Amino acid sequence: MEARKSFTGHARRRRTGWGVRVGEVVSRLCITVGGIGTIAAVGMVCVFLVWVVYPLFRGATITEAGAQPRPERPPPLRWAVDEQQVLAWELSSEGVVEVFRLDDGRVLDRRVLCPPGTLTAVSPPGSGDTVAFGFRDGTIRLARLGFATRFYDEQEIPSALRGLVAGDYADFEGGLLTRSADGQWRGLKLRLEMYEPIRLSDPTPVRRIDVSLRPTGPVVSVLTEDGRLRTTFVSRRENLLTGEVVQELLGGELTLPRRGSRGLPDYLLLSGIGDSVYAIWDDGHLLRVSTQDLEEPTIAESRQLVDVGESITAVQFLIGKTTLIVGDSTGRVRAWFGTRPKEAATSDGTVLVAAHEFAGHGSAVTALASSARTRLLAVGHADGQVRLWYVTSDKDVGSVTAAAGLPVRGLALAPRDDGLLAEGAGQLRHWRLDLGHPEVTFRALARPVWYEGYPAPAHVWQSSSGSDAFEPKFGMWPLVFGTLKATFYSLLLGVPLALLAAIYTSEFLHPQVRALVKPTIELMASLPSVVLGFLAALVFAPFVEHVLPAVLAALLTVPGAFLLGAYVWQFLPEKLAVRMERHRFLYVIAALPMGIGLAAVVGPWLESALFQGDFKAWLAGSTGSAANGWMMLLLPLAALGTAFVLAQFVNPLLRPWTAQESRLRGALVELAKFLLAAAATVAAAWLAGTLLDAAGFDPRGSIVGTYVQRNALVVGFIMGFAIIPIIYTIAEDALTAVPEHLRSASLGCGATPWQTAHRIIIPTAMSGLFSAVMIGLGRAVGETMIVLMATGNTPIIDLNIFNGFRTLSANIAVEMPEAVRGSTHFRTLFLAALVLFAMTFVLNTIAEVVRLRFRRRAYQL
Amino acid sequence: MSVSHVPPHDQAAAAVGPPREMINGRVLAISRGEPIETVVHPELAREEAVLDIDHFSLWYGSKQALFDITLTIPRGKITALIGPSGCGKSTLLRSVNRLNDLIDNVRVSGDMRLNGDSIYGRSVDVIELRKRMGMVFQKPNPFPMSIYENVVYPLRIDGERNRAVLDEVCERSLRGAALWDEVKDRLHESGLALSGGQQQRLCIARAIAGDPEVLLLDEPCSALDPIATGKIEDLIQELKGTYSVLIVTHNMQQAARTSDYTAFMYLGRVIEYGLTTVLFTNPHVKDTQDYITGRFG
Ligand SMILES: Nc1ncnc2c1ncn2[C@@H]1O[C@H](COP(=O)(O)OP(=O)(O)OP(=O)(O)O)[C@@H](O)[C@H]1O
Ligand SMILES: [Mg+2]
Repeated sequence: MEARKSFTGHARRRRTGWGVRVGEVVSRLCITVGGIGTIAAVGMVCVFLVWVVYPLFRGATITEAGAQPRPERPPPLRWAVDEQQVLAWELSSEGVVEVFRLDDGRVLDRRVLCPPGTLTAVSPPGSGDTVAFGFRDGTIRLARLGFATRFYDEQEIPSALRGLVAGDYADFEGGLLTRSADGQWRGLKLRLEMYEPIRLSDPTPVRRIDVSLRPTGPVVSVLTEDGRLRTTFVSRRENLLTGEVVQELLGGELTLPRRGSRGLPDYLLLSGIGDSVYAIWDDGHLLRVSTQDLEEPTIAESRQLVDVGESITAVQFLIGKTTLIVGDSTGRVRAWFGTRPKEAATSDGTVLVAAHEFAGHGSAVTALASSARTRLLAVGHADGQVRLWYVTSDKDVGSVTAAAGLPVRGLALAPRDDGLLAEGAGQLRHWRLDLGHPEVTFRALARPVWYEGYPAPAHVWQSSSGSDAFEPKFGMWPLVFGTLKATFYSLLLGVPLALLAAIYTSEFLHPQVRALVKPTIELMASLPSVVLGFLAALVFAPFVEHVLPAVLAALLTVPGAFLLGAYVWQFLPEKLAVRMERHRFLYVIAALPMGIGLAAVVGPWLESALFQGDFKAWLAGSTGSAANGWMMLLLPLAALGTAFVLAQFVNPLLRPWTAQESRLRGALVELAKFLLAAAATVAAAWLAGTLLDAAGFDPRGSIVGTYVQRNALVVGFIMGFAIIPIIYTIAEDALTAVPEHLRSASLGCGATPWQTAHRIIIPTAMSGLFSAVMIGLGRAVGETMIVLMATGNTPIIDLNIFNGFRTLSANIAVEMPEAVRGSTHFRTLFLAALVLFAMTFVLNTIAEVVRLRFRRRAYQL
Repeated sequence: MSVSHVPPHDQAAAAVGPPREMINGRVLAISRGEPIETVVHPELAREEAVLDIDHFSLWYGSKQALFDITLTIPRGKITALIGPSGCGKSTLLRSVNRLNDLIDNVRVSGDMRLNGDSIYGRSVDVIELRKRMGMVFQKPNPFPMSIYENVVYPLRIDGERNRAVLDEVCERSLRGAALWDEVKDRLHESGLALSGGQQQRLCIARAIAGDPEVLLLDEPCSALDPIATGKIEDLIQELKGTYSVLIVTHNMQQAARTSDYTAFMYLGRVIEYGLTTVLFTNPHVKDTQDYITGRFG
């Protein structure tokens, strides 16, 4: 073959080298794997979050664990089951405690507390192991009644029992013995300690009794047959040497009013710290006796708890003995607790409200059992149904049929909420429960929930506290709100600054100066946010608090100084102005300290002129009228309005006239216009403020309010500062990416740089600017360290810019270390993470859609 | 470059008048780095100048792109700039309305005057200056907005809001740019949706909408087909008298057809400047002749 003519002098066949091919394949593979891997990783994170969160919303499972016949006899006064759900005791009305196995019902132990026929009253459940007994002779006795666990050595075990299979239970010393897998012997039996009888007064039989435990000792409330109600604090001191016991009593008495044929109340309940006694009659009448002063009890409130024709059939306290559970003849259960509204009709300011209601199905409530660790309630009905209700979240957890067609006579929940005992129809039935996380429902997360003691349903996040009876509050809104608040204020500050800076550097600055400014701003991004947060919390926040009026004045004087500077510039003779053009950047920079200096002067002056010399006092609402505050708030809006009026109506009118004027006169007119517009702005704001004040609106309590040192303003400044670099960089790149020929075309037409920027460059770069803002938004939503350190982390919903908040991310950072793995709290934190994820996902998706629309519109180049 | 359409000058020149001594060796002198003087035809002395380029030099950084250029652009006439690629035609054109200010590291010396007003003086308001000129670029560059807005842009930036004025200017300019009939039904569609040639005519419409004193055209037809080129050439002819036009072109035929005067540039210098008819038929410089007959370039 004849060699082809060569142009370069190297005759060769062109072919792709194998190295290039391999490189092609490898790079394509890497890119594919990397891309899919990234998507998969994000997907996995999402799946993991959902996987952790999902159990929160799973329903409860209830499985039957056994049933055995029970002799027909009066229902027990009290009963309980142990943690392992193998042993139970019950107290009969005769004062006999029987301990029996749950699996076969055999009675293992039997204790007689008092001679038959003498026991007249037993305290209802709610105070743990502590029980109070009232007797026919008017005496009372406190006792501890519960289970005791003891570990045994191998030698103490009778040889007959040593072969016990691990996990099995054997009868032993009136209780049960079990061997754990690692060979430990554990005995479980009844623990009964009766304390010395107490005589409160003359020998009248005790009708009702209840006991509550204060940290210092028990409080007993006793109603005797003569209608007298005594509430007494018992302090019991034991002499360690002699064993002699001294009991001191402190209390007062009150005679309950007789209610015709109804006689004495059917239920008597003493609140958790012994400050209220509830006397309840079957017909729904309730008297609340305030015992805040034990020696002077007074009737504080009288209420009707059910409608006419209905009657109360069961009453219980929830854990903590604050929420009263009332079941009635229609099968309805209501939860009542005291709230303290602004104007209460009661003598102690507390009013009972029915905060939660569990609708019935027509069959009377016959038994109630409340959990010893959560706000779970078991409700037994006359038709044999048992329903489980989680009071806080109003969740219907599940139901079982305990005694088909016959009333449930007794209910007990296992100490760990993992078992349920129900007696009825001659049977004792036992279920094992796996409740999941009944305190969390979609409704409880997103809607206001009526928590114990709150005046109204509210969005609250309060996940833990020291007390066992604490009601965890998992309202997600305060956190979402905090996140939005932080984002809003930081964007309010960061976005305009970053975008204006980007426009300025890309369109106005000399290229050489730009080469300096851009990296400097980008360097700001390298400040770790923890440093910013630290500065915000320890330096900036105290500083702002110290010079608050000046800081607020600066928000007005700095832009004002820039504007004024621009107008003054017009007075430079034309020739000088053109020559000074290259130094204009320095001139602009000089306006900043001028504005700040002005603020330092104007701030305190404004404070004394408008806010009686104390802005913070005004914020707190203690001084002054709302008008001046409105004026300050409305200034930016009024300025925008004036600018609009100027541009739309005044300038077109003036234009034909100013066009012929000399430069100096034109500048004078412009300056006069600016000053007039500034005056008009203030006047308009003042007028609007006065009108709003006259109409009764006050900004305090909404967007402004009591000043807290670490607040949204501080976060807005610092987080705004933190998001400026990223917004700036992306926006600047987007603006610089606008084809140079468009810039030339516009400038070639005689447009000013600003006209070019806002008519051509910005619309063309809109999609990029939008992404910049959205990425800034994403950064602000997810930012953790700054908000963690610079806000008070108070999870409240408060628009007030001078108050703190808690964001989703900060909440996770604060609480995750203390959350118990797998607990509701732990999973709820993951839910917060999922919400955060969803928020950023939605934001980014919206951003992308909008960005593409912008791009389609502008970028057909 | 094909020059088959250019008549054989040697014979024509010989036929028209007595053979004249031709200046030669300008290109050689330039390559040796010697300064050269522009050969200006005497006919130009009769013209009134709209634009006076006065010893103008320009550097991109340390690289000089224009060398001491002195030209007078006559009023109401069409002046063509020709020369090989990279000789500085666009640079000179962009210097006239100071678009080179935008480029980093550009340095100039000398001055230009538009109707007697200095362009490079220290106290010149560039914005006002550019409003007096219209510019069309080598590549069509309509703005990403509607056809209508593209055309009235020069008025918009002057703050004109009167709809009737805008409408009228829009129609007149589009008619002037021979685009009206094609776009009159879709004035409010994007200017980017037009074809390349239409876009270029749109840019011309935009340039004349501002009623400029001088129209600067940088190879306005380089992206166009012969029909569109013809339309634009007709347009340029129509503009003559009303506007002074400075046009850069690579197309000898076009220069010969449309322009009154032609300047031949080479490596940042103007070698010869004179009546188009003379320059193309009877150039005074041998190097010019070599270029237009296609012997180099
Ligand atoms: N922005 C710039 N920076 C540096 N050098 C430049 C720049 N623009 C043009 N030049 C140089 O200046 C010289 C003249 O360029 P110019 O664009 O004016 O040529 P031209 O005559 O318009 O060429 P063409 O006919 O190809 O458009 C060229 O050598 C070019 O490399
Ligand atoms: Mg060019």
